[in-house]
Amino acid sequence: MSAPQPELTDLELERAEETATDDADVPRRKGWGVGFWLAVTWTVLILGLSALAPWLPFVDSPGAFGDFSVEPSAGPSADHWFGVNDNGVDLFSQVVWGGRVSLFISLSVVVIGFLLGGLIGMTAGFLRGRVDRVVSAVIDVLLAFPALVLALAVVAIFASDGNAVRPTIPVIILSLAILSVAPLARITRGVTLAFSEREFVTAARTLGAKSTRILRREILPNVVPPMAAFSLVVIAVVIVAEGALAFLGLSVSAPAPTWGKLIATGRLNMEASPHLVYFPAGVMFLTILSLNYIGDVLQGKMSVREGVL
Amino acid sequence: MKFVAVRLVQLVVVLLAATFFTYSLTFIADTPDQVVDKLLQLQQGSPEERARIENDLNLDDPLPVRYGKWLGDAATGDLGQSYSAQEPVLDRIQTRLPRTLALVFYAQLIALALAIPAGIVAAWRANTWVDRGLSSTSIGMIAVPNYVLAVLLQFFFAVNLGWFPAVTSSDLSIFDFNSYLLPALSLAAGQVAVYMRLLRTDMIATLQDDFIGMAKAKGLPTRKILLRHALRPSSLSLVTTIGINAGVAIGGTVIIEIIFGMPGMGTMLVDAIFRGDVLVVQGVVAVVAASFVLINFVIDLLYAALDPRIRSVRAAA
Repeated sequence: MSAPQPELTDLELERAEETATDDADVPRRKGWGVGFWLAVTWTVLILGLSALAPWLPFVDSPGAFGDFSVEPSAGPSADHWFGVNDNGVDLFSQVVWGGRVSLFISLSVVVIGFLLGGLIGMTAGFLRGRVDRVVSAVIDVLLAFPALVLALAVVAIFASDGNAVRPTIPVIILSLAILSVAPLARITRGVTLAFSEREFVTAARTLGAKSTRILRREILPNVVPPMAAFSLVVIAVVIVAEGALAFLGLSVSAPAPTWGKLIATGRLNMEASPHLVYFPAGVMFLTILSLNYIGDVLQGKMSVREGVL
Repeated sequence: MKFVAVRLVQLVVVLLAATFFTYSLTFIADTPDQVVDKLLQLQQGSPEERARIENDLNLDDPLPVRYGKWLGDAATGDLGQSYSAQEPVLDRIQTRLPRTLALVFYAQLIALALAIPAGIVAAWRANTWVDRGLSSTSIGMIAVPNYVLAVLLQFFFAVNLGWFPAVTSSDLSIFDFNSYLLPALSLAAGQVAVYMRLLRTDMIATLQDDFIGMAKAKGLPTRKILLRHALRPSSLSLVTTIGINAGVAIGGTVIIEIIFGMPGMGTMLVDAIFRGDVLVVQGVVAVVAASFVLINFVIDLLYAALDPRIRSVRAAA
């Protein structure tokens, strides 16, 4: 599970490692549960809205002018499901577009973590020895150091022109990458370490398979599922972290304000129009909750595959 | 002794890595001229002024040498000059660091005060509705970003009800509990959930141990068994995690300080970032890294104090 701070705790990492590697001697629950399907529904809904935003009739384009037929900062109505902001701009559309940006950033960050962290983790876990010790030490430091402070420094330095800080989407992705590379590398290392000991790997080696082939054909297929389950939790962490940067004014301005930015601007006039905070915050909360929950359930289920073997 | 030595080496490595990383970033992104430009937009820049800044930042030297000089100065307590505030970086840090550390401390205190009883109860009544209720609550709490919680708390308790100041004063004292409560609570909430789950897991394992059965057989009251016998051996991973979380907590203070307008390290860092005040950014990162490592060092000593077995293993090693 993810802490609200944009970093992962040791607890979650350990749990992820355990569930990914331990054998199924504990009886598993059958079925997925209502909560799981609710979480999946919400996630699919958000992903669908974000992906299809430009083509949906009920979503205004990000540059659209406000609706002057309603009061500025009016609350929810049939026309404007989440109300409008002080310029009469439809909040629902803004939340959809903001989510599109937030999710694009988070997914990109996790893809980087998946590839880079996966590569580092598999190498360390497979080679062991000195390589593993060095890599593990570096990962530990990265995991523990206040990543938000480093992300801030990166954004500031790459995106500032002395007058203002105007980060672009790639700069934000780069600065948040550290949040996904280190945890995913650690998970992958742990899982690789466990699988390298298994009979089928020994068998492949006895048959004369080269290390690269063992990594690709024997280990990789087993490492990817737990990594994928854990990635969901990382996506949630990155959404929170991006929101934190947005809160500090270090967020992208185009094409649309992200969830964090909407909350940050909404809070300035909360007494008059609290809905400007409630709706983006609520959507963000449900999305993080769903991603965490799905990630948790999947990690728990991971060992079922082991049991079948 | 070996354990202390290893920790000290780690301390130095983390400090060097973090400061070198931020230091080189500045100069990867910008040429020395651009760095000076950024700084000069804050003041009128004459050629003499430019030369002075170039000299201050040792811009004529290659990067490793320049970093070495910065490091040498830093080691003697000279973190350079803040160009926007016109005062030494170290002076600013000295007034602000205690406030940020106090925030981290109060947040941890609140988190533990809530998490320890909740964790004990959840473990004692494992798999009952009490336990399930507590863990559902914690899953929900984890999904609330600390800045969202801060905004809501500030709105309800400070703006609407007026119980606490919405924005802290600029000469905030670290004993001004009234001002610290809401910020610390915002930081603590997510950690409560993490700590509670951790303690619950360890405690369930401890409660299966023989010595607990023995204590029960002797007829000791449940309260005493839980608090006196089970809590201490169950709290080891909790203590470790507090150390690891120190980094998380320090990172979290940045945004909480901004929301409540607290004059701490976080507001100073963000301010410096917007002004391109490189030496301030550099100084803050160095001090944050140092306090983070020191907190972990203290936690490690505490860890050894909690469990005598670790002390002897480490003494033997």
